[in-house]
Amino acid sequence: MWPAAVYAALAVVNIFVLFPLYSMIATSIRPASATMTVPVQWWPAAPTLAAYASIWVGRPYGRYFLNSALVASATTLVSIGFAALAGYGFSRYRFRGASGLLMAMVATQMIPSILLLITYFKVVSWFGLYNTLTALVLAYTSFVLPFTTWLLKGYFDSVPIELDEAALIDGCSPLSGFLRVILPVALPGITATSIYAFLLAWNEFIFAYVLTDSSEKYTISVGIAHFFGEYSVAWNELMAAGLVAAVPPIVLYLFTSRFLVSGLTAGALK
Amino acid sequence: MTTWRQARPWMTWGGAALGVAALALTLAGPATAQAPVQLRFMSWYFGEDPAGPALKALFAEFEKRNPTIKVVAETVTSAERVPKFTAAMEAGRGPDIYMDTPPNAPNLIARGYCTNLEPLMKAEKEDIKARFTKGDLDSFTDEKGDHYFLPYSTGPMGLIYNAKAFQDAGLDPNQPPRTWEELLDYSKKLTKGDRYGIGLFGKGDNSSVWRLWYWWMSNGGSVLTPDGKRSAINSPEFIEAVDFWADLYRKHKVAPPSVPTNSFGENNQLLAQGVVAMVESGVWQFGVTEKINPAIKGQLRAAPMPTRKVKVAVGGGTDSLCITKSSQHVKEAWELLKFLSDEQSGVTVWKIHGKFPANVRAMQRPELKSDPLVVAFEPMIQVARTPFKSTKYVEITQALGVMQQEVLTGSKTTAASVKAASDRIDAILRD
Repeated sequence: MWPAAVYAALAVVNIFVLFPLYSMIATSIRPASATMTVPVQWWPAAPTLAAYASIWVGRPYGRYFLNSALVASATTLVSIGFAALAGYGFSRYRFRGASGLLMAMVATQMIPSILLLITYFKVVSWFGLYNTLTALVLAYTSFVLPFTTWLLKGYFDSVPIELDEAALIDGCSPLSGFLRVILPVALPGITATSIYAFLLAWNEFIFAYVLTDSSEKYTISVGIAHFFGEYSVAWNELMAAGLVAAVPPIVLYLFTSRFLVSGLTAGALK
Repeated sequence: MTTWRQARPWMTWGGAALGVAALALTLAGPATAQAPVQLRFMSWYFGEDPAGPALKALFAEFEKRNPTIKVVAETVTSAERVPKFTAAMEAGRGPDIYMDTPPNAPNLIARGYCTNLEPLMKAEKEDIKARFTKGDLDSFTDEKGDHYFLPYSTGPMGLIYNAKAFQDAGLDPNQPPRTWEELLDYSKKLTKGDRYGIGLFGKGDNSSVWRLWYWWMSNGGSVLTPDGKRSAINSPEFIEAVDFWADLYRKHKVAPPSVPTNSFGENNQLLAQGVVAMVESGVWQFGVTEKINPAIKGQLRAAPMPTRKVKVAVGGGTDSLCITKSSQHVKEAWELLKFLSDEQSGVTVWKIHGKFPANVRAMQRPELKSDPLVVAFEPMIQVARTPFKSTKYVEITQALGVMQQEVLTGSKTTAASVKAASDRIDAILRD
């Protein structure tokens, strides 16, 4: 009796979670004239993939997709590169002001990013980077760097210092010890942090919207916002675009999930 | 004999002078090449079809006549245009020209983003103001009555109805309802099964509240006192109008059950699918509905909204242009504004965009005057106006949206809901 109740409750929660996804899929395969029917059609009478074709052919969705991939990948690479070095430094070295610096990084996360929008706009314009993907990479890196540094600092703390010492004894310099020994061991943490950085850059809207002004530079989130017209919304195309936009993060997660769940330092010390 | 020590200051200064001269020459290079003046034009039109192509066709013509000026289109989304414009202006990188509608104009003017057009208009031989209706023009003034925007296109809202649905219900499509009582009678006759007489906008958003203006204005009600400092909605005329409108859904059930969640997008679909026979909308409704359901082409017609006490129409889409305060090319921007709002450009607006030009003389041109849609809407254009102007427009609309939802769902009586909304508006205006 009790397990049945639990399963029933889980089923309800699943329906609650999955219904929006079902609705997106069902809407994306409807023709434009049938996206809102009265009475409600739970499944389209004549399913079509026309909306999926339309977003690639009728709109520069490929360009949006490429821009998002470039911006998110670059943000991830740059931020993880710096965060790994900074996190390792905070974890292994004691220096004056270290705790103050870490607290300052946390403090930056407490400022709503929207308040920085106009300042970013000014800085980006001043450097001639308005309407460039570089501006977005710089902005997103500045958002994610404090948090990723904190995450990786915590992760490096959990890596035994004996590994560093073993690397030094074997002839590594501190930097090569970090690159050759510690970094591979920290891969699960770096992967989790990378996913965070990638998703933030992939999903972000308002900075991408304000700091770009041509469709050649739009990211997916900005491109999709343009599906909302003044007088009409192409709901089927909007849902198709949303579903396609969800594919890269899902694929990324599928390919990296094994790193997330793998042991931290299993077999590292013999 | 000059020693190295004696010569060094001279050499240093000489070198610096040469450097400055070289820099000056480098900087002067592009100027002497006379690069065209670039006018950055920010509008949501560029992401819309056919609004964007119409505007770009006009730019091409303008650039042909003015080879030293180039117009650069900057696209914003319709929904998010104000945040982007505001950020750009605050960052000192605003466009030269910006397009917006009456609800946002008072705030943008009060923030000092737009250039006062009065001196520019006074310097012209032509009476520029005579190009537009008073209703359109006066939607974009400051407290002193100075104008900051030139209207580009316009579109009062009327009754859009499905002639075939009328015929099916035994009604004459050439005799649309002219009074509120007739509207109710027609709606009852058009309601059958899953088909409803009228599609109401009850979502409580801007589009829904905007359509409710008509009912109040037509019944002699208003939102603010003439000085704009207090709410005027707690009046018998206002409450009667809200009750009549809400009863179409609550009591007579001649509108779909989904009215409290319906706005523009939903009613587009309902009209296109033939679920509702009438909606309150503008000339743009035709293109939108036919895009969803091409088979409906030729079935839709337009008429003035049925009148109660006051013959009036709500200005629905007066898209207008301002020269921003950050523009370094006011003279060129003014030339473009004059061009876009002149008679010939108005014909292009109608032909490509399918929206009415704001220029009243263009509306009298033979190409437009004979069009059945122009014939239907022309009387509305003459009496169209914006219900009220306030820098607190958004907050006031939100208060009225809450009232709209309360009335439709029956969570409060109409009188109690209107009283609460009136108090909220007074509080908003006091802040």
